[in-house]
Amino acid sequence: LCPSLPGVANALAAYEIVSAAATAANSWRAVLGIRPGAAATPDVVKKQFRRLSLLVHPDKNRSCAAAEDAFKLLRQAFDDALLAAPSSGSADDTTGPCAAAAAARDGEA
Amino acid sequence: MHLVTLPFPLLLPPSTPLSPLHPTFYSREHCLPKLLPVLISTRKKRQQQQGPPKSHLLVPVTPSQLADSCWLSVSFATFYWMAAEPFYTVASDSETTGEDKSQPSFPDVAIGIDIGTSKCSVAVWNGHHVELLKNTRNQKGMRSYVMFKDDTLSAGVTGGAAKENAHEERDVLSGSAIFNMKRLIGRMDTDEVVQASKALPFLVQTLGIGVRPFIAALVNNMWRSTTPEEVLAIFLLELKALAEMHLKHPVRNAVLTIPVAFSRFQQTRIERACAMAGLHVLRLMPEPTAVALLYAQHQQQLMHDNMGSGIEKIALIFNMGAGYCDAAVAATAGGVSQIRALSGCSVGGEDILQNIMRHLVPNFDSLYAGQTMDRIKSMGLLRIATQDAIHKLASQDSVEINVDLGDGQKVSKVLDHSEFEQVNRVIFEKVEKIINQCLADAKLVPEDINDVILVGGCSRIPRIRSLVLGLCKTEVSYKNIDALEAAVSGAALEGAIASGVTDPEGSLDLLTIQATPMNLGIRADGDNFAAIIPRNTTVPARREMLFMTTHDNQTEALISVYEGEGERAEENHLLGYFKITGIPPAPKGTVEISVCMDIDASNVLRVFAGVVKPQGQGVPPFIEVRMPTLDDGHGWCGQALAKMYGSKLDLAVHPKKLQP
Repeated sequence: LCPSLPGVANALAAYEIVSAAATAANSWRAVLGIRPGAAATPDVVKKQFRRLSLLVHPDKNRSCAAAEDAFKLLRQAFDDALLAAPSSGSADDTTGPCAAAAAARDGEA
Repeated sequence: MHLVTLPFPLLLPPSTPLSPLHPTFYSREHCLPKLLPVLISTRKKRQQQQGPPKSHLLVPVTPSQLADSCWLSVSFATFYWMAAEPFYTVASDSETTGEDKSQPSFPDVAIGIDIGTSKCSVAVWNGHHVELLKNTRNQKGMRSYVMFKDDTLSAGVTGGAAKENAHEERDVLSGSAIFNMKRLIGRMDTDEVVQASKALPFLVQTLGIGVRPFIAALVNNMWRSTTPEEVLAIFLLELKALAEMHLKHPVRNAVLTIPVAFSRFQQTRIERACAMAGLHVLRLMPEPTAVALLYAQHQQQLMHDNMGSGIEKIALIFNMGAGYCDAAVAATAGGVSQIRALSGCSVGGEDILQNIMRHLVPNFDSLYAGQTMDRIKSMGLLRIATQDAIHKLASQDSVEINVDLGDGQKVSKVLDHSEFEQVNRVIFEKVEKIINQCLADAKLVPEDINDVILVGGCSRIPRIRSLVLGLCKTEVSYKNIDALEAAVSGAALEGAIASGVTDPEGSLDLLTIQATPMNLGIRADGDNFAAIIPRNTTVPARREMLFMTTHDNQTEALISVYEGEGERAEENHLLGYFKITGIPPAPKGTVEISVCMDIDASNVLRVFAGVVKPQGQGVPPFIEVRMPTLDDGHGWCGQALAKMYGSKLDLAVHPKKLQP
């Protein structure tokens, strides 16, 4: 696989994220590895995001371009997931016309 | 769209570190590590020789490199004799440039460097934990200065090396040493921080026209010119030598901490200084984010020890040193620390010191207007006394200051907390502002904060502590972090992680997910600033925005890239500009132009721009520009462009869609 991805796990995670993102427009569940039907609470989303970040963040992959793109897709999915997630009473501003921009600026809240 | 680089195949070749776009490509670092020690060691020899021997330049340097003003601004004559010296006179450690190719065995772990305004430190990951390196005087935090004495240069890392000529604080303040370079680097002479630096003992000359200030150190009663980059490079070279001595192998990569308030242009100056010292910058981390990484490590260890549940913890990190003050909010769990908000400003201990000095000597500015020898000496005495008093005030209720400044000037005063706080009121207000901004940007209320981490020298000032803790509605700060060693330890951790070091026990399964400290965007809708990547966006990031033409049959458009917080473009920092030409003629508003900004993992900013509607063969290709492109004159370039073109090349934000 990619010589600059240090481990098979990293490469596989990057591969899965990129292929999941390519399958559908609204693919955050697939990218974050949350099965359809499973609850996507902010806690679950954050946990998956952190787990996958440790695998595909460029810091962990010596600036491999594939990892960088995978991380960008992961981050996008994370924002989308928090927007779609059932409100858990947090300070997340998920309504109104600026929701997308606000979430893009600071997805996690 | 063709802009999106497909991540596949995964079998991309490893990206080469030496692309022509890379700052190290124009490889100062290949000759400078050799030259700087020569410069230092041969200046002495020059006196013994009778003038420069006649010989041709032998160094591998191109004329453009020589012409580059940032390259050591020593006189050409110096360069001439320096080059004539055979290379085997290199007395210092450097270096193994030839050897390290044949010995790839040493682990290429990046070192962590904290270049502080007043103190510097260096740390390495030694395989088990972060180790702070000590100099020959057993110091971990080394005073940041470079002494220009006779024909030798020496930095604060060795502090004058031998005991008999060890530098003392009064030598540093004698005008022969340059310090506070972190406040001066990459700033123009209209900057208020540069103006404030005129109260330093060395020469800071300004013309107030938006060019670099003239900086000089006193050598044998003469002002000898230098640049902040050069001073920093000499300092970094000593730090590098120290690290190499400890590690017993050459050091190439480094992670440096920088203030949040540093502009991208200032970052390029730091990178250039590193390249001059033969260091490749792996990452530049805002100081509080380095502390966040250290905090993530602590939390992970706690979790392992207590079998904790890994609940997300929110930390507010406040860092205030001698030159800058920053705050960050980080959400941490499972070894991953996500930066939610960053804010910072260039206010620090130096401002507190100057306020107190002006308070003690009301006619400070007129008294020290001209830098004569006795005035420099007198100012040095005042500085030492004031510094001492501020340190004592951290533990005492009041302090008595008695200092004879010579020339009939005497200061005799008792300073207490209320007076100290009154004099520095503006500074405390700024601190309050950045904390509140940080909390607001993170969309948090003080009650959400689990831990408040105070780092940096000024966090020891009681009023600052109580102010920050009060704003976060808590009584105590996080205890397990050393205020002066946290940033450098975090940088060393990041150095190990980004160098690809893995630990079988999982103690390096850590990560800081960085965010951008400032808005990045272009000028649009007249003089407005359209932020394409808003501040606190996770990096690496790629954002796109659509613009449209503002005139009928407009064939050219100017893209001026700015960084900052202002609503209007001119209030921000100009990073560079370029034109899109050959736009097909069409009624205004019908041509769509996409501007895409991309920040990669190494924090390099690229701007892509081009016409997306209409499409077809008649459309010019996209342009990719690496920013910043401007080297100087950030203030007046924008004005000159406005004068030349007015609104002829303007763009407006497309109302349809902002970001897919």
